[in-house]
Amino acid sequence: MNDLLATLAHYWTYPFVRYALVVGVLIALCASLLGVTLVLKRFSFIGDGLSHVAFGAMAIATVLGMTDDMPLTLGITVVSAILLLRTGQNTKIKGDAAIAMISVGALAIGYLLMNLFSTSSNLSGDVCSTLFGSTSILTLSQTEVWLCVVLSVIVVVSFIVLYNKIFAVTFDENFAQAVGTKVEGYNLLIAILIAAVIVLAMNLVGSLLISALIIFPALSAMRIFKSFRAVTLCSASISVCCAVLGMLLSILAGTPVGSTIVAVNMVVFLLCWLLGTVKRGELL
Amino acid sequence: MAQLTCQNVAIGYDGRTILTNLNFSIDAGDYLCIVGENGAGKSTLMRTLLGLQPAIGGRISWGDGLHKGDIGYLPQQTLVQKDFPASVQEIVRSGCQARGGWWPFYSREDQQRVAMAMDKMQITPLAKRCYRELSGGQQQRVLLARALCATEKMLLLDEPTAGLDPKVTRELYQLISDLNQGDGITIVMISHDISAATRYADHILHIGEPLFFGKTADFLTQMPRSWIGAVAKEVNRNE
Amino acid sequence: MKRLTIALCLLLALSLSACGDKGKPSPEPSRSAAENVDLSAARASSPKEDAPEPAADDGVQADVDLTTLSSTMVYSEVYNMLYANPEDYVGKTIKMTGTLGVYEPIDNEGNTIPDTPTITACIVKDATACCATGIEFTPPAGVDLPKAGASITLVGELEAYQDRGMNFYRIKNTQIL
Repeated sequence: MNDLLATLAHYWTYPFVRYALVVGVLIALCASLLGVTLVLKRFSFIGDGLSHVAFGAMAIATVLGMTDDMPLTLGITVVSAILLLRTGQNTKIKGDAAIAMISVGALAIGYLLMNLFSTSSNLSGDVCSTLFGSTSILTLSQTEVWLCVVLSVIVVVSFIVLYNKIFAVTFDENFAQAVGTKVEGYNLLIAILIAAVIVLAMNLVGSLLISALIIFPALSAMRIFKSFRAVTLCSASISVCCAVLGMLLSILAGTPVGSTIVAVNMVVFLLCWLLGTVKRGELL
Repeated sequence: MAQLTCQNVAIGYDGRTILTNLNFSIDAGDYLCIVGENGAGKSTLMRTLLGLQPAIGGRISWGDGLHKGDIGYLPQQTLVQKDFPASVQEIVRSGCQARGGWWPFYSREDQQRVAMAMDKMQITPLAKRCYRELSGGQQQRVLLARALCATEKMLLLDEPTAGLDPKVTRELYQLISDLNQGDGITIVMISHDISAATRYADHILHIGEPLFFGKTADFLTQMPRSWIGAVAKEVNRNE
Repeated sequence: MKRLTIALCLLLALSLSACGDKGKPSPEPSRSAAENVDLSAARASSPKEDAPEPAADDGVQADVDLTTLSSTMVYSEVYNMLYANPEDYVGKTIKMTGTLGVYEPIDNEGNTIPDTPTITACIVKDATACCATGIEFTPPAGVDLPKAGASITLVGELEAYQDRGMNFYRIKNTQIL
């Protein structure tokens, strides 16, 4: 154990490790908060759909020769999120095929464009690291870290301030609209926030694994807790712990960061499911 | 002056008109039951009244101090809600969401309303329980408490007793009747249950053939004999 | 609820402690007397100065010892050294393990063009093995290098040089271990 602590203390001296942990925690926090709403609205697939769109947007940015792809990626992803989520609960059933089409189409077009037009020397490596996260989280520049911090603060503050409205809109859109809440406005806001979080999260776990960050903590929390507030808080804690644990494990053991975080999330989900079952069993 | 007036209202959705020439008005303290066949347009009418979908024609006007957002609504439950991880208190509290305007937090006054509404619906001991663990009847009472938080004047209820067993149904109808008689809240309720409708409501709106609006007593005398015969038998049997 | 929260925290803590044996490369705590390479004077204080690692098996110390880090860290640190903060590392002794990469300009038929510089580099891959990076080094005179692709451990000092107007970095005074 002492070995372990000594190694960790030594790793802490590296700035990119510190950046990675800070950014990882913030991203995990934001993703899990929004994840509770998305899972309950039955929009779990949105994470996947939007992340593929973000991949496509990144490919376009690369092909256009942009040095910083973040603005374009963010822009395209936000627009897609608005289009996909704007209809809210009532027409989602019609929309799921459309979302699947957009998602898969963006992935294919993105890869095609990169193959045809990219001048990168390691194309499959670039694609692989965008899809799976590779070590992007450990090679962040200071600007990227600050951008992430600012966006995360906006997301978390918005969530806290609008918590009651988000709950109302998630639980019952019809009632909310009937009493005069601007449901469309809040759906729009949630869409924009989730798009921003997804674009950031691509750095941490890559396109393909983002859904895990959004879904697993919320599902784990729902196994155990009974009130929305408890579920939200638990989801955030689980997400942050798993992200930190996953990152530390991958750094120590030399495994890919993204997959390790998702694996930790899965283990925690199984534990929570067991805990929930046992708890209910005791009550009976 | 009527709280709600519909003049020549036509309703429909997706470009289809399903009902035209609706004329009725509701005064404060009325208990109106909307009855009719499946697909006749009852839920559509309620959604149009609430502003959830636009009327295709005609005019809907509010008066007597009531504005559009001042109505409590008890919609039909979705599958998502039945499985929602929220405590009863959180759900009832969400009824106050529109009261604060832009202010995002609930005030002490809101908390008091919540306590009162839960008390009226006799669900105060269930406050911390998880919504998905409750029975159908309890869930409906929670949603009714939520609707109460949103209003003191008018409640719109969409088939509140659907899927509930007879005893629970009777209890719920009694609670609603108490709200109407005791607190003077206007009730507009969609119901499949004609016998309960004729027993509790003082006005009936029948959508379908024939279109009828008026007092319950008139409904029982003016509707076609064969039709009424069946209803009367039901009324007698349940008495 | 409180008991549950405590139980949850315990579980998380347990899973954290259970990762003690996950096969990480642990730095040798023993500081057995070993021959020390004469370190260059570039151990001046810098905001990111790492304390020199305890001696590894071959007893060679370096300012920046990448042989004790996991593959994820090595990749990130090399990226850090070459792209993010090269100025902090120029002049320091670097020790690393990787695969040998030999790069020679070739003509269209695949034959080596004579009298053109050959570049040798120590390549490291990231955890997913889909990305690779490496540091060029000047091979020590008179020493036979292993075949390209073989594993190689070396130590030397990082220097900057200019070529066609761009900054490059390579390891000089290389010692193959």
